[in-house]
Amino acid sequence: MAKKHIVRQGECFSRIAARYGFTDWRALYDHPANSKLRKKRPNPNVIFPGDTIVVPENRVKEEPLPTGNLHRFVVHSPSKFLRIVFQTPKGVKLTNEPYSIRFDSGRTKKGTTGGDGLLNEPVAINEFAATLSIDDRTLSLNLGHLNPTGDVEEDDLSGIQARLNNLGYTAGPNDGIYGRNTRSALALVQVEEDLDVNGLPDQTTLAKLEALHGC
Amino acid sequence: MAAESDVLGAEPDATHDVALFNPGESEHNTIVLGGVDVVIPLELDMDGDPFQDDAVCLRSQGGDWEHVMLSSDPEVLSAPDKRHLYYPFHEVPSGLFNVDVRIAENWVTVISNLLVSRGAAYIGDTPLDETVANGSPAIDDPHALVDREEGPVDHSTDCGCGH
Repeated sequence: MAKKHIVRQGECFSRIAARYGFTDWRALYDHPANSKLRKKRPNPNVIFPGDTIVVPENRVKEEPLPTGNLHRFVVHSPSKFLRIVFQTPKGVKLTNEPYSIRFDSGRTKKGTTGGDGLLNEPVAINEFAATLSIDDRTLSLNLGHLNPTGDVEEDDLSGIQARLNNLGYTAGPNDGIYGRNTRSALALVQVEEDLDVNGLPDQTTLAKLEALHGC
Repeated sequence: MAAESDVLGAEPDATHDVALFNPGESEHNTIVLGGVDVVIPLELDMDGDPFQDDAVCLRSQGGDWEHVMLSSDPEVLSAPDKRHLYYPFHEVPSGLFNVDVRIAENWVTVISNLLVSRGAAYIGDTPLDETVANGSPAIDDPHALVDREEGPVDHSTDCGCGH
């Protein structure tokens, strides 16, 4: 029997799928009962706390095999990737930049950004936070916490604020509230990107913001 | 290894909410590191006490970024006429800022709504660069510039700089 899952902060389809015993997030995302949500959230990696996901019944797979032999079964565990492009305020990518990252699971990894300034690290499904050291800075990362920019309850702006702050605009805390800092940060984006300057999160500005941020 | 561990254990400079992606996807997050340099021109000895260093605080209006410079800082330059000082603030993020000066133990806002963008900083419609080129912003009497809307800034709660 299908169940309903209410999304919590930091969850994504892969995490929810794994929780209910699915190795592939598409089993949930592509399920017909989630077609409305799919329209609302075209990016399965960016969902909003409070979204309702229908979790289909997870059928037990049966495989008839002869007894008396040794059989090997391979289970694919879901994996995610942390992908961040680092750049300066002038848009210069931090290429071949060494970094160290420690996940909340205790796992540590060293690496170097690519020629495109991209950090690309596999993340276990049960890792929710990380501390990253790069360019003589220490950053705390909330993994999977990025919220959508639109179609959210009570006009929550936390996804917009998070992108503004990631892009170096001081939008204040990601509290979802449209205040003076969020308004001025949006206006700055509009000035710098040659958009109509009104300080409002209109569709054109949000599309530009997502393009600048990469998601 | 110890040094790396120390760095990862340090107090974070910033916290970021990021998305995770599935294998093979090309989307990503972008994080901009650092900020721009902003030079604030102010009159010399704004606190009216020639025996005490002027303390100048550049503070984002959200209060999540601030930095204090003293007039005795070797990075602070004086104008040829010796009447103005130029306070260089580094790695300032984009946003709206106030400039406060400590006068008689109180922080007084002398510039409101300083807009810092990636290209330039502005006071109103005037780029700060032009203000620097023309001399200090017209601040004749800093005591008259106690924030007209908000009153004196209480740095015991707003400012993490210890003043």
